[in-house]
Amino acid sequence: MALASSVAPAQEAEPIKIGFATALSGWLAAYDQEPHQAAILKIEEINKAGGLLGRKIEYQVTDTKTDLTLTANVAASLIDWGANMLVVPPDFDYGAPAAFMAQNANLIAISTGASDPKMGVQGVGSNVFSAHSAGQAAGIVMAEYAHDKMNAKTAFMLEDVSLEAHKSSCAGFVAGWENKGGELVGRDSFRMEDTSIAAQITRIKGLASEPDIIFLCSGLPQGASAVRQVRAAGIDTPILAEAGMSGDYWLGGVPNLKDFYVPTLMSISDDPRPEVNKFIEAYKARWGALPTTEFSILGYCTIEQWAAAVEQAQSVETEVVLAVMNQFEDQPTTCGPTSYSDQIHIQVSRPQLIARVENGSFRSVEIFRNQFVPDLKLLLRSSN
Amino acid sequence: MLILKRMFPVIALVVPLIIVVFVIDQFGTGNMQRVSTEALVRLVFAVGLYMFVGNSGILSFGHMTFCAVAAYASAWQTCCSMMKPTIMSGLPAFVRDNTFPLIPSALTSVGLAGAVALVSGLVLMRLSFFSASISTLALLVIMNVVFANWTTVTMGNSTIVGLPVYVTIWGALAATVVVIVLAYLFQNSRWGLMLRATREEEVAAQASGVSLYWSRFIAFTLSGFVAGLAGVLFAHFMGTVSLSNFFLNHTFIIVAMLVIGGMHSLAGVVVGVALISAVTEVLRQAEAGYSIGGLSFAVPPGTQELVLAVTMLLILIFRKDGIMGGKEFRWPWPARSDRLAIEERKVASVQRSS
Repeated sequence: MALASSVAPAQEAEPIKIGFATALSGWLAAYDQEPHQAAILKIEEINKAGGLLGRKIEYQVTDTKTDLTLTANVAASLIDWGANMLVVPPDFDYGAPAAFMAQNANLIAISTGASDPKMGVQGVGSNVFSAHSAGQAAGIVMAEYAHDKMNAKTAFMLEDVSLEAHKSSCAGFVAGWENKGGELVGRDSFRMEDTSIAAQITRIKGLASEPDIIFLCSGLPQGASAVRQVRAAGIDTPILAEAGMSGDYWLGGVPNLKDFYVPTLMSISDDPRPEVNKFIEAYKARWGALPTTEFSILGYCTIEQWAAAVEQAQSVETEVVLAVMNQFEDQPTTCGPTSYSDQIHIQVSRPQLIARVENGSFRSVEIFRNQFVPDLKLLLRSSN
Repeated sequence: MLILKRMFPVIALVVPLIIVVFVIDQFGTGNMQRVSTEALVRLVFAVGLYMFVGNSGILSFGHMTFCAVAAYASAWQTCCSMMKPTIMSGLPAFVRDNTFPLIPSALTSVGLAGAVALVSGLVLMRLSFFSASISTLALLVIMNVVFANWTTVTMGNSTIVGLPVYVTIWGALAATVVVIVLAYLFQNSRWGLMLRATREEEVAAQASGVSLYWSRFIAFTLSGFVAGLAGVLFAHFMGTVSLSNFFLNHTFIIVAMLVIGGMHSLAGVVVGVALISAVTEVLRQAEAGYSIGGLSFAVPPGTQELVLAVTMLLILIFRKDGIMGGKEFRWPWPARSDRLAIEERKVASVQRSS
């Protein structure tokens, strides 16, 4: 590679290289493939508009197969290839091995969608960012939304303890809910392997009075199964869930679902924000189909924010770009205002789109921004 | 000369390994070096597993337990001094608030893994053949559930990031050579031979005064130590420790390597691990796509797993003792008397089978 670039004509600026360690197969592919395609869309847009700092962006993508060891190896070879920055998988556990490689090679790594704040300074290193909102923020947004907009006073929390991300959302919900002065009348947990949550439902039904809302932190498919069981048991309490439950594809499994809310990044069919709709159109034009998950937009913003930082820094050097990114305060991106600090490398108060299930699909309700900002202690859940 | 001859099965394994590592170190890409290092660490684990499985004939699914214990123990001692008090608050204060030097912590981690093998071996090795085998699976499940839920100490299912990365390809090779020699010495030692006797014929071995319990127990403990060594190497090769690396997936892949190579000989283990690691990597690259002379081609995703499965089936059908058929590499120039002995053995086996 070094050889190839040295024989290139001197006047032609060397391309900027972005390495993608992306899960194109395995379970994580469902969350990684579309953000990756959206990122490529952004790269192509930048290149069409004349490049970044007048240089073309080149990229290389390698499949991590959702395998931890392979993820690290893939990152190492992308670094060998000469990447200026790495885009790593949207999950702390499966992204961290690649991010750690980048950290050790003194490169910036951005995870498109890790919702665990450990994907950052404290958990991996000072060069590592997540373009997503912290899982805690999803819980806080829903707590504040329930309190402010739905007038809820009492809540029951159902926690899926099989993944750290879900536990984070629940931790955020508890903090946000207590901050608003809401009452948590009960909580229970279940695991991904639990096919039946009958015991947990019995506990909800046994409450002295019906709670105003149920907060469910879980993902798919186990979350859908939980919702179905709760509704089948005749509990019609509004359910507020976390981002892991968004997407229309599972709603067919719970017919006539009502009063079900999630915080999302965007709506594919009826987003109120024009810039998001523009992204969706461009995505469709490039890839021949609409994006199926809201996470896709994060890939677009990953490149967008890094390019903005490079633009401001007038350099791709890690230290300079890092300094700019750490100063981001409500930096406009397609995903919404983006802020980082030298301690927090994930979004903690980005406005989120609240969506509600109506007639078998999610419909946008409104954009809602949380007031309560989680501190590092809550973000790292060190109290647990 | 006699030493050379006696140690030939080891030399025949170690020398090619050294040559391959040398070539990769000199001419290979960074990725090749990483993949080879990983394969060598896997080989350390496989040899450790073989010391018990190969000699006793009892398949163990539980050795990842010792690997995990050692990897976590090393993480507790060497990882992320800043974050440790918050993310692993349940550790004893002297471990939580201190970072230990690398070599002593590696040794104590291997020691802890060995101790866990010793204690579990005291119980599990009392069981008979198949029960012992399945009970090791139970051991793995126990470890997995305990570690997944002991969040203040192990961070649960989350990944521990930030261990010092010090395992190079040469370091991994050195460890591999040491354990291969160790495994060979053990299998030819008094205890090793006694254990092999129990593998071939339990009743006859017992009748000759061999203790099933003690011979299995010693091998189990020893292999626990080696599995622990592999755990430490793996942790400090990756720089991260994650529970999902120490569960069924990796257990089965390594068992598959043993089956394909032939689990009754050291050569089988080395050949199995080397071959499968190489084939896996070549196919992975092919899935990513090769480009030759401007033409790029790729095989469909999933080919790697498919080829591995078909290979295993073919081996099981046509060569059920694995590629090496349970044999070691032999000194290729047998003396006259040896040759006669071999002839006699052949005749005897023909007579037996007819």
